Amino acid sequence: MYFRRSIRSSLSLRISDCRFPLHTSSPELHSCNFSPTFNTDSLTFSDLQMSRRYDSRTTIFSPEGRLYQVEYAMEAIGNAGSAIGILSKDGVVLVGEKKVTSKLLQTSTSTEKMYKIDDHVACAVAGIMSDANILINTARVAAQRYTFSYQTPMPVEQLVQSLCDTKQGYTQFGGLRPFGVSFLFAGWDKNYGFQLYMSDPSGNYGGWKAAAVGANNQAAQSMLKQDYKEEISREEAVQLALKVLSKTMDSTSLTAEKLELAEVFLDGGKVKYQVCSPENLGKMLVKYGVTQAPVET
Amino acid sequence: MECVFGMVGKGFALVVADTSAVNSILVHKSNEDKIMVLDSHKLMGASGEAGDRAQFTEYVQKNVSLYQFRNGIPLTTKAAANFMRGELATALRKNPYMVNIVLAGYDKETGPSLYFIDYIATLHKVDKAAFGYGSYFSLAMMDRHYHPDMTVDEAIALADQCIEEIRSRLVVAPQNFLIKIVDENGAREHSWRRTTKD
Repeated sequence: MYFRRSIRSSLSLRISDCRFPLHTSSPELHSCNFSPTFNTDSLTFSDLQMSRRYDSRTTIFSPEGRLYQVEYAMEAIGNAGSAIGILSKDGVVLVGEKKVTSKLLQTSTSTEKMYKIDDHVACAVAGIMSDANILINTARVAAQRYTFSYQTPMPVEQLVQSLCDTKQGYTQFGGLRPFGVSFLFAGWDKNYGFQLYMSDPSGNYGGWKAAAVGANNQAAQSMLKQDYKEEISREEAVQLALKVLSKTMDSTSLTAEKLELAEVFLDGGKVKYQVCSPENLGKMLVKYGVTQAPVET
Repeated sequence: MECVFGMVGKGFALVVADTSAVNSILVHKSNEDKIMVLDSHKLMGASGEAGDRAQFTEYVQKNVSLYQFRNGIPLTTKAAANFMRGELATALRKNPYMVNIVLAGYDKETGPSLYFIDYIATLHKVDKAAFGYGSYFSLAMMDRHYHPDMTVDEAIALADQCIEEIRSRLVVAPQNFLIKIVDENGAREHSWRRTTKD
């Protein structure tokens, strides 16, 4: 009985100080609980004891009603290179920050953070890349399977949902670790036009006008909320995304080597996925004036 | 014997089917509906083995509505046709359904359309289609008189000509026929052509 009471007190503390602060202030389309804001600094002693007891079990609730492994997975994403997605009236823009781990590392010729899922859907990744590769493969299989059945491109939300069902499974079924990956999906379909979705390790997803995942996603999210305008054009969206990324990145200067930019838009009635070349990206950074030392916000 | 046919007109498509349930030389029933309303804007005329027909048309119908519940958007006629083809193709190498299908539908983007699907999983998008013994007469009649942009009245008149030809030339002609139509307002029964009472 005494034990129980101590849990209660720490629970009330937690709810008031750090849970779910995000979604009242975010520019979201539908409601969703997207709040990877578990803060380890604010842990009390009893909290730590409690989490030790339950954090090895991915599929078991703690007495406070939490799944620690899922929260830790979200925490892992908070340290990954960030990605930003912006929905505009004539396309969707994705930008990502590549973390340069070593000077000796060969920079890959293809994209590291952006992946084409199908002709009409692409995604940006934040989190553990090895986990992401598995999920990207599942998503590609799902998309092709759908086209095989119906000879029609898979609606974007269905694709996101099928992937999130996979993610959710790992928070409920035995002994496995959840995927440490958040995605931004950009796509177009004939029913709902351009769409942007964000998903997290718990399998939650939501449609957004502008969204950020990875390191400093809260700062980026609030900047996006401030600067996002309805009826934004694709070019303005690129500019905004680069600006927000440059101001929220940990490194001091933004260079084309540390960045990836991809766009999904309509070209002559057909959906096109285009990755910006490093040369063009460099020019764009100068043009929009983001290569100067970032200004404090 | 069985007669199922359909055609596409201007802004609509129609499906005609006989309504006889036959076994050997015996007519069990003369008001059997062989045209299933798949969803609000799709008609599925089916001929073939009676049990397989019922099983397959209901299976497809339930899958089409499951899709709609899950995803909040209906399948297009094209998607539904390809789904049926896939199901028939999978079944073909195991335990085939003996069904032939004339699928008519209306979609906002593409307008009316008609698909020919047979039991060996052939899929064609066509303007006019027919199955069964009646097809020898109705296909010939439609080849002679069909033209795109037909009005509903013209198409019904052509359907009547087909039925007339089947009745006068086919030894084992069915007694009654049912006509259903699909346009922007949805799929519905149009009329019956009866020679016997139920």
